[in-house]
Amino acid sequence: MEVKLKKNLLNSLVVVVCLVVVMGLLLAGCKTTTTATETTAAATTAEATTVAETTAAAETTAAAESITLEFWSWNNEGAYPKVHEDAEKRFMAKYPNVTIKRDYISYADYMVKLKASLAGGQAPDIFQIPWAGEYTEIARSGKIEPMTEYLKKDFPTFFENVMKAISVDGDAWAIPLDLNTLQIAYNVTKFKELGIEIPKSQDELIALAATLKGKGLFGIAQGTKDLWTGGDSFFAEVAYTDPTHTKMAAADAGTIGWDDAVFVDAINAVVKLIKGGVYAPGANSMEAFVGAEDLFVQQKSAMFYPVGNFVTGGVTEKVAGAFEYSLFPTPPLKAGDEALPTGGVAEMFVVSKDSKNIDMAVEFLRFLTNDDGKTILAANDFIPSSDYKGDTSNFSPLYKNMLDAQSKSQSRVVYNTKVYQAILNGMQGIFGQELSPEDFIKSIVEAAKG
Amino acid sequence: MLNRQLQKIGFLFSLPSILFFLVFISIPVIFTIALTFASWQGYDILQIKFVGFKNYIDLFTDRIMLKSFINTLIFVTLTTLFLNIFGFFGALIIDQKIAGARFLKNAIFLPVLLSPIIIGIMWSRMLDAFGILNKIIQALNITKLPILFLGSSKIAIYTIIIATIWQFAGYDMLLYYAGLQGIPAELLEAARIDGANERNIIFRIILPNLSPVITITLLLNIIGGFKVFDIVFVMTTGGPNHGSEVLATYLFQQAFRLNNMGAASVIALCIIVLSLGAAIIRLRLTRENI
Repeated sequence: MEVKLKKNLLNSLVVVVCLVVVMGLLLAGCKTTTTATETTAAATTAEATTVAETTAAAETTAAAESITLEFWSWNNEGAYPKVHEDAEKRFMAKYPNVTIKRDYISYADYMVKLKASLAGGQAPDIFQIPWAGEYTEIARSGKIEPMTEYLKKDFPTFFENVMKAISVDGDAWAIPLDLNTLQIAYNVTKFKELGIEIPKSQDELIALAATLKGKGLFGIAQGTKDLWTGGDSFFAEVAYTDPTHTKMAAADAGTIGWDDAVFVDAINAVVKLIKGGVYAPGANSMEAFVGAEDLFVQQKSAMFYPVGNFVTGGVTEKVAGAFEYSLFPTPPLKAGDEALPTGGVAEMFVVSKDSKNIDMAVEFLRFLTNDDGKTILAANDFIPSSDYKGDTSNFSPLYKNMLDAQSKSQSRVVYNTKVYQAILNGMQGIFGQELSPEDFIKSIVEAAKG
Repeated sequence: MLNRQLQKIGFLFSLPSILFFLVFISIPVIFTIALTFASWQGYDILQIKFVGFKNYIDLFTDRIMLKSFINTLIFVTLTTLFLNIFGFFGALIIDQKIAGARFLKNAIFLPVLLSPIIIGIMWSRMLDAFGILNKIIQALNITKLPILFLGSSKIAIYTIIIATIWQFAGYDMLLYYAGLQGIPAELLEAARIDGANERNIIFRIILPNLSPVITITLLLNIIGGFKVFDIVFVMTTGGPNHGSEVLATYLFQQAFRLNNMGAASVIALCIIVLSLGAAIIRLRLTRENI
């Protein structure tokens, strides 16, 4: 029995060895074929090079070699892909040897894939980057190319606040494509029908919510399951409680504490709105652009927050023919004060330091942000990150509203990742009325301590 | 001589598996353990810094870590308990030669075949403040305001547990059903002839005979519970305000939101130790049963 078993094992080994030999031979065959193809290709290339040298001496070196630039973004919704594609077409018309390989990865997976590719030295040439939290860390990771020097050549002059937002340790690290403003969308038709006006203060907003409730409507639909939207309610209040508009950056830099009165007042103002019945119930169980947007589109809520050009395209399409809507900023604390929206950089891109074609990658970003790029941005309701000098007479009132809001918009950016996450998670507790303002502030202070 | 040759042959046959295990399991686990003593944001391997036990100290004094651990224990306990109860009684029902048993078997097993992501999205839609369940509750005048099944940090974890039980009860049922087929019909018949009632048959005949299946099912549920991620991530992302945070979602948050790979590795190690502990218990119990 044992001898038979040993014999079987030896036979099996012979079979395995034979298989390995056969596979080796097959691979060798493939290698021979590849080599043959390479030789033919080399001969063809040599011929082509000779022809090129004699007939088109003026052609640039860049045009002679075939280049593929990898481009990653998470924004495959709305009109962003149109903007990217348009730049790609214009770029490839000038550089036909360059191919842009665009990949859209859902935001849930984006940072996971990006981190793995950065750590493995396999990052895409050009990639979108979050505007808060991770931005500083990626800028300091040594994995991306600083843009300061490139910005001096053939890029538009970006707005000053935008330049501030993309600068870390004295260098600019990203190329900002567009900006967004966050405001409250309201059902103009319903407001007119009920004889309601845009509230001029937060007390008026509370009174308005009560009126709407009496008519069987919810106030503001907001989905805080997505986390970031809750954070924006807090930042919108800080825009009013801090008239200097400097304290958020100061707290972020650690020069003042997050328990400063402006932050305490801001969170108390949010709590007042929640307790005043301004929001539709169940914010924490609704996604911003599914549940909350549905409430607004289906006219169950008369208002919807936060809304900017990142979503107006979809909303306009969904409400077309049903009702008219427009936008107003979160009202000020006191009637008579100027209404201030929040906003900042929307899409921004960086170039990987591992890219073999850094210059071409930067060149593509020039095409994204140049005058033609701005025209296609404006045509799709996006706000360019530098001055747009094109014809604005055909723009929709909604787009003009957002352009106007942009000029007044206040920061919604916190770069300390721990603090940012503490604000977002804490706001869920605030919206669920399960966390006190004191504990909210305490959690941010703790996060800031690291 | 031949024995040594055979050993070499055996080793050669095992080599692919050994290499696979080393490259895809052992090395990552060793790297993870090493990372627990390091600070790393996950971008550049050259930026890894040794920080000693800092990650352990930080995490073991972190209230969110404690919350995640407690939630994981609640999840493991409740899902294991109810999956086994429903699985066992479901198996008893479909084992009866009654009309509709086959349909019932397929219907209960069907959710097992679906991805937890789909289950999560489906339950999220049904359970949101304006979902079908709240509409029914309000139509029946049970409450005027919607129940925030996923919007309240106090009940979100239990909602996820219910969705998980709904999905995986069919899996446990099938394991118990297979176990029931191994109990000789003569044994049950003899018990009935001797005057045993249904309760006695279940508790004195069926359950003792199913003990190997019970052991395996319990431990599979426990290990699965410790690792749970997808359904929690889809239904609540661990929220509201960490209310349904479990170890795996907190690991994700530490690694990919807070860029703290060291802390994430400590959590990963906790999950490995807990799962390994359950696996060792399983091995011992199974050996005793054999």
